[in-house]
Amino acid sequence: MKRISLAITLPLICSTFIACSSSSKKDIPAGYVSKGNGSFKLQPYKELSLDNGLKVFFIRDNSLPRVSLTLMLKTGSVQEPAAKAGLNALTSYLLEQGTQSRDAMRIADDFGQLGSGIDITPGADATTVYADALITGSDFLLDLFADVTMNPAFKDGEIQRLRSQMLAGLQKKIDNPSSYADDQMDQYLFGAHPYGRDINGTPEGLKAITKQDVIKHYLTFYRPNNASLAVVGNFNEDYEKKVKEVFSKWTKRTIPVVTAEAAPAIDGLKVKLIVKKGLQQTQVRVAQLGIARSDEDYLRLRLSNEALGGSFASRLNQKVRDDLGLTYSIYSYFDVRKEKGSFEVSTFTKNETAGKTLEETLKVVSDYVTKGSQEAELAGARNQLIGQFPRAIETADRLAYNLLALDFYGIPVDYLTNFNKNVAGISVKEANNSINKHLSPTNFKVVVYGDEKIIPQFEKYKPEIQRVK
Amino acid sequence: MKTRFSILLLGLCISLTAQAIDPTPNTKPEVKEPLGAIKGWTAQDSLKISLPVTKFVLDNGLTVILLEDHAVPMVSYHTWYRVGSRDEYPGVTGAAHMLEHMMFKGAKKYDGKAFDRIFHENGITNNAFTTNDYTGFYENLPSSKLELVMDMEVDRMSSLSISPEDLKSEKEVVKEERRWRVDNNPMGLLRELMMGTMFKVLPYKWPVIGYMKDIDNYDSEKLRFFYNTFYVPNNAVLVLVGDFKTSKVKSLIEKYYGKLPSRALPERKLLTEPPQKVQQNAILRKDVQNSSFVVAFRSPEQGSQDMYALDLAANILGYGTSSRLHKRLVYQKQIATSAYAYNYAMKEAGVMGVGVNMKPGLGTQEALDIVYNEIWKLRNQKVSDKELEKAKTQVMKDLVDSLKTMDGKARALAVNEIVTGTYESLFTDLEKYQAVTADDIKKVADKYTQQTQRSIITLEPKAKKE
Repeated sequence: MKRISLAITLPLICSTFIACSSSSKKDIPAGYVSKGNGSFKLQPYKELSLDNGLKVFFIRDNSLPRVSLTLMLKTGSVQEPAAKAGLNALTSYLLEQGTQSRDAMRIADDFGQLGSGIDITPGADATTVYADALITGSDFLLDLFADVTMNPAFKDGEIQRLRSQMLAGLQKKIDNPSSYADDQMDQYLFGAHPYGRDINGTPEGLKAITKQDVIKHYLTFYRPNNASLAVVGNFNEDYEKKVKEVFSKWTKRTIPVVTAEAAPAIDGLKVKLIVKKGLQQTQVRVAQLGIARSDEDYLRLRLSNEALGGSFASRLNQKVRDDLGLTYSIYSYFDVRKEKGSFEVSTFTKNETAGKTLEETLKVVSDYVTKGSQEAELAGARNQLIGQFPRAIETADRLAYNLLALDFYGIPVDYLTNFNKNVAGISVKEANNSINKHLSPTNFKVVVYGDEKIIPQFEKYKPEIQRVK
Repeated sequence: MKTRFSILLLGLCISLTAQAIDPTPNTKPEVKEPLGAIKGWTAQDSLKISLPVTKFVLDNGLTVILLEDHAVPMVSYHTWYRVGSRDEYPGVTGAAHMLEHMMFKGAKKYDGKAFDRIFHENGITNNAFTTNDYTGFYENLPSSKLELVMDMEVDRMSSLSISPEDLKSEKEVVKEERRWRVDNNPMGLLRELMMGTMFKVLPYKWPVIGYMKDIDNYDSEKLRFFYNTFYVPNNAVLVLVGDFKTSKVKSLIEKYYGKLPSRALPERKLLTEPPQKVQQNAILRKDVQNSSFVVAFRSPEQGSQDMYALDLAANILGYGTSSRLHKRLVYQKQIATSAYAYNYAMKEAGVMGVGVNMKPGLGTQEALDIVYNEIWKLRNQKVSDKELEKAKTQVMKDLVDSLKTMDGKARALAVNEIVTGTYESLFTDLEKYQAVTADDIKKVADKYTQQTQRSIITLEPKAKKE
């Protein structure tokens, strides 16, 4: 493989997107709207709210014989107490480990029989549950999906079993240098803010969680008025009716507001070395606090970052990979979230060139933040974002996910319908001003994870050193 | 980006494929064949997939597959060559992959610096991958940029630079890739050791990315030989899926690619791997938190009759949380964090692997015994109708899922065309899966999974010094 597919798509939202006019030519079912302007329109969808507050999006798509359901719960590790870190993840994984009428094995078998599985993804801000099936299993899918999300049993044995799995997972993470470095960077950057810790918690937190904690977390946050649902695929009006009936049985409650501790301020360039004997390669992360998804500079920063580290033609890739041959992969991104997220550069290199790679990376980033981009490279970045936008809504599933995510962040759907126009309208000056406003060229936190012998290469940074046995 | 498709460098997915390839296909008339319901598939009228595919072969032997799809104003453009690590020799392992990297370093008209920049400026994303048997390049582009991409692809298909300076820095990039995938990645090491243990004769014994020593030693001449030999139109398959008019694209392809000469391909006769007569063990001790192992068997090549039944056997054994191994090892015994099985079929042979990742602190013996027992059951007891039906539904579902995007459709068509000689196997293979019986599964398990045929590859934590 030439290079890693860069996952620059920002979490929970929207890499890109708009649809073309062809879908709007077809007959639009009653209640469905096709939002957009000019020649670009989104695939028709229907949006409604049940009496219990659950928001539902329907997208009919008959291109393939399948149906999918995505439930987004507007709750993540941000709402769990630090002393019970891992509570939200454990609660979410337990959904498929038994309901009032099905045990864990039965649930696995039932999904298996549909040719499907259930995909539970706990996050810091939100948690999603996804499942799909061939159209021949669409009714069964709905029954099963509703059972799992609305009637979990939270049996003691299952809690013990999953806790032990999660503890093993946390321990094993160190064997994957890339994700270990990511975790360490988050911790270093966000400190006591929940964004700083693993979604799956901490060993101490997991051990402290009781059955009552799980039940309480579920009853408090896994509520219809704290969730939205997308139904996608080859279905008809009867199916819509059934979906509404089934999920109307879910009871709503008042959702408490939980506030998190602020992330620490960064003062100067701080380097932390984490060393482990025997590593064959060094992971390098450079980060700073970034923006929330709702920030008005979001699109300008996305565009600006595209030229800095968003693609193979980016400055970072051209310099550090192509010219210097220091790495196989280097990219930068704004990890936008509900609250202020991060800006991060991620790369790796052989132990011998760890210091040089950090130096070159910092040079490119600082230069870019200070002087900004040139007209030509920003024009290229604009074309890239606009040119790839359709892929983000190419399938009904992707459009559905975007609708859920926009709804979660409280951003109007014209983010999608006006995307091309808005990106095209960003000037070089605006892009440069916003990156300069949000990033400081001298205040970075750096995590380097490699073999012990890299230490001398970093002397000039006076690094904090942590040894891993 | 969470694309599910990952054959990249010995990815392990159910292969939908078959047969030897005719390296110089004859020119065939254009045929347009919408594919309707998949015959024999649980008699469900609603399971219809219609792909109005156009296929033709240019005079120079280039195979072209076109599929109009107007979902969004874009095109997915795939160029796959029938060359992979199986075409290498000791001393130049990884050359096919290295050449793939050099394909981004410039040709006659578009130089290396220009390549990524032009793609980027025109809103085009691109990437590539190499496997044991083939190498693929692809772009996702706004439909208005079709001719530009064609011009660039023809340029690098006909006059690649491979300059020594570019090769020098790109070798460093590939060495970093190797460290990242293998040397600094315990599971990568385990996989490399597995292939080296199972195959003694076939080129599958060395890694697609190659050995570090060989990567260090490539020179332009070695790579140019690979380029001149295999990057010829009659060794390539071009697949375009997206927002275009078939007739117009057909004449563009004739205009751009028609001028390239075809060249005779070398006859490559690989030695046959002799049957394995005794169990093989290999062990790797590294600084890791937990033990892992794979019990691996040689399985037949793509498209062989037995492949279909073995794919389903592997599915029943270790695909997903409802599989037999997950239930016993992860759920009931709670000694493993994951358990899986796959059958990965390549052009010359396949690998059926059954793997377990233990919880930290536990030895492997109990899990090994359970794996042996489950494999014994496959050989000696018929699987239930329900399990068989589940496995077949999963195969069907995987196919449907793979066709969600233009890029997915193009990949599915390309992989089938290149390994079976016809993209239609994408659909006809499903009938072969559907026809598999519980007896067939028992029979193939008996044929391929005896104790003497297995290799046990183990990764263990080094003893810690206190």
